[in-house]
Amino acid sequence: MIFIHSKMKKLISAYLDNEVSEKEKNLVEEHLKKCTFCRKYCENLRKLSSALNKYIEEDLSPDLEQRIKKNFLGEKYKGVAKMKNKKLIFGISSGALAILIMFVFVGHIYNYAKRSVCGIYNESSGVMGSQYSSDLSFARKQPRAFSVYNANKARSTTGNFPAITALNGSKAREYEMVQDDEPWITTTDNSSAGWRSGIGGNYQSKPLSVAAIKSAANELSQEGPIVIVEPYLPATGKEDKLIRNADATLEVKDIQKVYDEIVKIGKGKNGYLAAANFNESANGRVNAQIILRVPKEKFEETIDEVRKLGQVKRFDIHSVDVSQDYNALVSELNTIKTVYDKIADKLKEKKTDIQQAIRLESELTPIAKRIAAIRNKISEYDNLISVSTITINLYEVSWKLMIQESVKETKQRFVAFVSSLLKNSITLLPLLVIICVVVIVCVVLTKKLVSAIKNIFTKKTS
Amino acid sequence: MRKDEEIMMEYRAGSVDALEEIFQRYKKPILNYAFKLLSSFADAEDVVGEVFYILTSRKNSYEPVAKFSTWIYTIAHNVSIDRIRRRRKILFFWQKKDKDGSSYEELDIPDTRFMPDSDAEDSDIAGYVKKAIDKLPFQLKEAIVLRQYHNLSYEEISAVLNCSLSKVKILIFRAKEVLRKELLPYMEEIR
Repeated sequence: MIFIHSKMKKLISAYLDNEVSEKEKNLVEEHLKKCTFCRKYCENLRKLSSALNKYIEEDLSPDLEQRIKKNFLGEKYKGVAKMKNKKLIFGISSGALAILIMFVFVGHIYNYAKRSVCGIYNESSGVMGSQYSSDLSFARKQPRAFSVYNANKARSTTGNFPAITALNGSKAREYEMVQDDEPWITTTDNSSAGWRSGIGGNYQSKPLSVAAIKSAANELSQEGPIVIVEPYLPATGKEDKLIRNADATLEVKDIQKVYDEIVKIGKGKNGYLAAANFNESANGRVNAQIILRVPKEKFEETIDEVRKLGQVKRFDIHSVDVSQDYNALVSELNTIKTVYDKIADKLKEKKTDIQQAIRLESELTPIAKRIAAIRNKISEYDNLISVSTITINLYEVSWKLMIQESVKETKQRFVAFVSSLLKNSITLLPLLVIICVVVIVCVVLTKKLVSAIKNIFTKKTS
Repeated sequence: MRKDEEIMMEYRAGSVDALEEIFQRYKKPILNYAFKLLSSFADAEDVVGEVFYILTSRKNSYEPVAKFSTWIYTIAHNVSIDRIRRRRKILFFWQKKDKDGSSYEELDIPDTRFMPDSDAEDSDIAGYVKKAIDKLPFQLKEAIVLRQYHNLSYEEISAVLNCSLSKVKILIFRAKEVLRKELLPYMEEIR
């Protein structure tokens, strides 16, 4: 029964719309006579139809009608079509322009970045000084010299190639060298960058051919920037006649306290304070230079103790092998002394007349002077060899100063940045104009879109 | 009274007056059709403009084998669907998916301009009818609107909606069922 009703409902719906066949029409009419439920349903649908007809029909507003007529009817239609075509052309061309700008812009930035890296690189060559210009010109040929250097690789490689110093950005980096599992301190300052000596043992340099260095450089250039520096031949360390000195730069909290400590260390090692001076620089930083002299036996102990006094910022130990000079002086002294003795013996002989005695005396005088000079030199060497000089530069750590310096540096960098930006802006000016236009168009379109969305949602929420 | 098809053929032959006549005949039906579908008067006005733009640009594609009303309502149907799709693109992040995926309920944004806004007006049957139609799923709404307000036959509706006759029958029946249930409390007032 329910099935009949549900089927009949569909038929009644179509029947009221006059969308049934003659047969279906008869069927519905017959059923309606018998079934009160369906009759009521039919009545409801009729009422529904009447209700739906109550819907108020709208009409176009006169101004819109005029607009539509103007835009789409008659001859005006052609103009509208053209306008639509224009919009399409504008869209396509602006898209193409945007893509073009992107390519140009990216290309320009890429070139600029490349140029900037070259700039940094040239700056670094300036830091290294003219001594390495030939080596730098070699490194400049390596395109990969611009990337960041791998410190780990540098550590392992410099073990095999001690002549190679890594260069990162604009500053030469110093690496602790590893040779036969013994720690060595390299001495690579910018004025004489190279190897001099090490502590804790003897170091034998391995002279490398230029070809070997270049091949090492090629290998390293896969990892990052490198600069090849010719090795400074170190002292052999096999002779006794070594002048050993050290330079240290320490960052300390209390300069006076550290000064007292250094004096105490010097006294404890049977040494003495050769010189000390304190000064305050223009920026308010307090610096001190202390020159300590200690017996050569106590040299390493003293260094160890001094290093503990503050944060080591630079440490440079250098030895000069004066064995050859020293031996030459000694042998010269012996030779001259023999000659001197012979002349002196001749002078002592009673046979010698006055004239001869005067001549011999005049010959003896320069020899005696020379002997005195050589003895002085030997004694100077003995002094330098037996007592080592340790130059300690101290500077105080001051937060205030650090902040001041960093502010100053930031200011300088900012000025440099702005000036470079201005310089580049002039070259980029045409491009900037185009970018501005694109940005303005984008902003306007975005605003329109946002307002459209807002309108839609205002309607929805209300 | 001349038939629509004749006027359209005149327009095809180059008569601007014929187009004016078509416009006068169909501006209101198209506007109301679109308004009922889109529930936005502004959108409905745009649809009218767009329909007549298409009509003028594709006048040569019209063949008198089909009824003109079917042809123009098909254009209006396509334009309305297109507009809803565009709206959906904007609102995609707010849209709730229907279970069957066929409904555009969420997109039927009501236009409150013609809605009764006071208690007295709430009793107005026209307001309830509008509300009930607005609530209908898009396809049901389209079918019942074409039938009820534009007097298109089921066959013409099937041509406009590009679906079978039986489907049109079902769509109209379902629409009537929904509306009947929705408007039943208010139908007693109707004589």
